[in-house]
Amino acid sequence: MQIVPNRRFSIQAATWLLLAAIALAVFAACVSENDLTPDQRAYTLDRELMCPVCDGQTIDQSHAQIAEDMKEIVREKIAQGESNGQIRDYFVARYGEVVLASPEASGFNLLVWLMPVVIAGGGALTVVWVLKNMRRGSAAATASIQNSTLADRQLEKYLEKVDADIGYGRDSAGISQTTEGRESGNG
Amino acid sequence: MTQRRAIAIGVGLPLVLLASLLAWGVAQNGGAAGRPGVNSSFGEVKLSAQPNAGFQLTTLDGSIVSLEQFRGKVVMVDFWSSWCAPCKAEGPMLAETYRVWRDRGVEFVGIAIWDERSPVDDFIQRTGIDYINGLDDGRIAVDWGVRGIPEKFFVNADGEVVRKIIGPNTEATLSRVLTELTDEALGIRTSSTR
Repeated sequence: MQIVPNRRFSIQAATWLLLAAIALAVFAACVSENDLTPDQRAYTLDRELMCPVCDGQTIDQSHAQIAEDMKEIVREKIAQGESNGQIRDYFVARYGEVVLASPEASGFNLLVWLMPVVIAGGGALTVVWVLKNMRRGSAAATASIQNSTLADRQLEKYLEKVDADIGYGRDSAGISQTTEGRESGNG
Repeated sequence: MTQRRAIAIGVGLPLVLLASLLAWGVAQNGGAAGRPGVNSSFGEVKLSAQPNAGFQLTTLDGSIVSLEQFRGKVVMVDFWSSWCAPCKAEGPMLAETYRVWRDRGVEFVGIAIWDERSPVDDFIQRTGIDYINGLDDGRIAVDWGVRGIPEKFFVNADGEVVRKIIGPNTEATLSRVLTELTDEALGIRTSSTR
């Protein structure tokens, strides 16, 4: 299959985007909490914890009293040397996993992480399948036209053979003249 | 498989799965996308505090009390606010129930949260509450996993947090729990109606 320039460009762009995303993920994974200042760690945790009495707000976004209290507790625990994991666990033990803005990628929660990938993959496969079917339909139509041209040619040959057998001459000008010749012969 | 059916499955199935996940999430959260700070309906819920949770509370008269010092008694720890309507409604009942139960090995501790000193004092005087009360700076509430008010935790005679009730109580609902816990402390087996 020949790759047209536009398509080659799209493939290259997609490859670069994928590589960039992988590099970003690797970089993010390499930045440990020890590389951050206590304030940066606190802000990170503030964005990871939901306010238990607010509608879909993290404690970073909320100004509810309980959110302010939770922010203070986060800072106290950082000062006491607790890790981000320990601080998250503290809140999860009291408010359940709903206190986490992003659920842990384990157990049933894996569904939440896998579902978008499955949906995107399924959507992409459906699109590819539909496009392939459309292309196959178009190829079939072209083949049908080619087949009918072939049939015309075979019919012409057959008619020439019939003309020859019954004694009508055909010149190189084609069927119409042959027909005229046949008609004049009849007259 | 026809093209139309493939598209229906490719689009419909993920949508159904997404809707199921959303429904599950809402059901997990008690039917609400987010909880307000006031528990206006009564119910016993899953325990949020650790069984060994404790507190150090500065009471309104300035002394410091800890849960530890009530070991051997059944303790009801009530998180409330003077501005919360269900808390205000049940205040007189709590005061009366305490008078009935205080000589039966039961202690009540009120912890006012998200509130200020003056309205708390005012409310306690008006309702005649005479059990220990203090104003929390928010640490105890978070440590006990409080989501709204009123919320009551019940601590058994061994100092373990064993039950949690949210919303406004009646004398009957409160007495039922206290009966069960005091019976348990005395080694009397009662048929629990939890």
